[in-house]
Amino acid sequence: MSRLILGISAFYHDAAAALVRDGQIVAAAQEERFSRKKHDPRFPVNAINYCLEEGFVDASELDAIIFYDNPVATFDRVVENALAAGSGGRQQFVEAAGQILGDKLWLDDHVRGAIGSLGREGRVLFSEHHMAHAASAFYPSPFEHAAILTIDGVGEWATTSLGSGDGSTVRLFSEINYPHSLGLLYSAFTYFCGFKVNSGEYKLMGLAPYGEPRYYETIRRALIDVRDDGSYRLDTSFFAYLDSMQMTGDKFASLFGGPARAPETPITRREMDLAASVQKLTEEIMLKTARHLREITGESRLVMAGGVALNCVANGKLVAEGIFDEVWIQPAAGDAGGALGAALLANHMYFDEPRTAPSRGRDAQQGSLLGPRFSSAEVLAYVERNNLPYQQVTHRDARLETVAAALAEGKIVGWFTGRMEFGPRSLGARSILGDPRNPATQALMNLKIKYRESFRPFAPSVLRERAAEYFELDAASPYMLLVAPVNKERRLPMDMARFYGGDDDMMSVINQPRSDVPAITHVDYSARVQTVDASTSPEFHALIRAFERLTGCPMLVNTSFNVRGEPIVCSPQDAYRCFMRTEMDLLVMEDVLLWRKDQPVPQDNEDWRTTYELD
Amino acid sequence: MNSTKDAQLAQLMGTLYDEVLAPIAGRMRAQGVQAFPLAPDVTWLSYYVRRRRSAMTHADFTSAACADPAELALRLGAHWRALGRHELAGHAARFAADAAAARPLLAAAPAAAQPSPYVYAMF
Repeated sequence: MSRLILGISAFYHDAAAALVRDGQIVAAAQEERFSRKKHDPRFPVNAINYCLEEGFVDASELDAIIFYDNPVATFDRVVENALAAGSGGRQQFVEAAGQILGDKLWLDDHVRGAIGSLGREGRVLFSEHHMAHAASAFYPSPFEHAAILTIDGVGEWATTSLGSGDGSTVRLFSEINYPHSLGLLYSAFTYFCGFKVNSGEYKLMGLAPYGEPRYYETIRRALIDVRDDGSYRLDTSFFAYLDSMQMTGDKFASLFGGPARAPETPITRREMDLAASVQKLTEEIMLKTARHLREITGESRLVMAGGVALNCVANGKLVAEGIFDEVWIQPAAGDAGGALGAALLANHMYFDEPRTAPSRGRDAQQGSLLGPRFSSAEVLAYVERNNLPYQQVTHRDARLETVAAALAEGKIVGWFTGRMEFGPRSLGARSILGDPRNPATQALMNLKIKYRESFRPFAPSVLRERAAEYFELDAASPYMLLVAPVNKERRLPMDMARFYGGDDDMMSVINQPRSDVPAITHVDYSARVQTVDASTSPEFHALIRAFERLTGCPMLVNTSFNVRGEPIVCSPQDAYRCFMRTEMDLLVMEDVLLWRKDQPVPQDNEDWRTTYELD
Repeated sequence: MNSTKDAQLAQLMGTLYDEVLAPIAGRMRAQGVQAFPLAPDVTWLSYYVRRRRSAMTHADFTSAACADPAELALRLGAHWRALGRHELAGHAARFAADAAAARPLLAAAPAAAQPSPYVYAMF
């Protein structure tokens, strides 16, 4: 009989559910994709129902339901934090304790209310937060055994955990505990630079190459002590998160010459330099930690998870440094992936099920294409019900040639095919695509399609077999988690005199072509690479091949199918709505093509900026 | 959640803080004891903390399972006793009783107030 386990993450960031059958991942999805509320932390009723439907499973058939975090240990931290903070921590305790004692502790009630059953165990199981991250990194990895590194803001007490995995066993042997946290430090700078926490970290990372690490020494001297083994401690007197609902306070602001940047105001040189400085520190800590981990475990392979493992610039440097022979990172590295990790952990460590040996170096993440799929018939039903002009092209080659030709002409294409991705990156199932050779693509996609900050770079999806022609990257990067330099021979010289001469306007840099694939080349000649393999993403691979046949260029610009502040689209309805709210030219949903020029004027006059809170 | 229930919940938790935690915090301060280190200590070679157990046991998977307030009191007490926090463990029943009082305030209408997007949600 099958062993069926449902994993759940909720209440903090990115609620999600995952279903595992006999150690194999059946489905995984974030609640935000269904609720249409970005980073939705609420109990993931919709994601759970999707997972059960995908597995044809009734809730009563589940062997176990496991939550990714231990709320008793988290409550202990709330209490100890209140004791440490003194009277200043009263208000924070009042808000946090009420939510935990009154709601978050009672998982049995939440699950029973959502699906009417607690499964065969008759009660919800609980994982430790960093154990769930560790499990999400190790079990789906292609390695029999590996070192494990998890880094995030905080989970229960831990903020950084070191361990190893071997066969079906995951062990964590040492950790750094709250309030000392690399994730919280990065989030503090994210807040201070005027971006939202838990979504703006990516912006801070993208901003870093515009700056100089002018504040690095200040940060090292005042905010954090880093030991040779990568362990660290913060001076918490500079931070406000212990005794208020803010990340930083006056002392932090004084250190960096004034108050935090107000959101949506112009970005100045200070924010660029702060971003560069904290990014440099993050890379330093990750490299030191990796060296220490290699030394104490003797392992030649590393797996990683936790929100900080989404820092693909640091990841790229870690891989390039060659500390480990191979590195695998859970694509849903944040809290969403905790649902998957918890389910896998229960399978192997609670039910003692053996782990199936990875086959020929392939991971078990299935390209992270673990979400809902909508068939051609379902897409047709949607477009016909709404009387939308469409063209069905069932012949695959003809369809791909049409799309590739549109891309080669500079058109922007919404691409919706197969199962939705699990994790924050679009990997060719729910993507907006463009021509990377076109110098106008970056500005066009930022300003007319994504409606986001113009400094943010776009990522390339490149045929795996031709990646080395464009990037200094030896490893595969199927989940877009590694940043690598563009090959030197492809780079174009840039005129930085005006920018370095004191003009803070990043447009003077952004508008300069930086390589023969300018749309995906960041200002430091780097790119966040996705290598595309025919075996995991056959349709997407075939599209890029079609584009390559037309143009000689084996890559496309790939950005997530959403507008700023919107969760990535899940259904045909989401996709069409996003398509019509932007200036995309063509929407491809399975074998159904919808050209923008043919579409009726939308009746929906809703302004998406009011629907989705800007991130 | 409506404002009346918000206020009731805040009062409940505020009283819990004032009656239980503030006195403990005061005693800890008087004794010069910190709940956790707040700053670097450069005499340390490493800041890594060795975990008590490297792998989760079967019992660990159920250590946070709470069917009712009585079980919560047991879980909190066991957790704090294992950490040597006996004074807190002595108040486990009070925390559980306040949890029982807080549940109906949140059960009918879950929290309306969302944490600021400029703060890392960690409580």
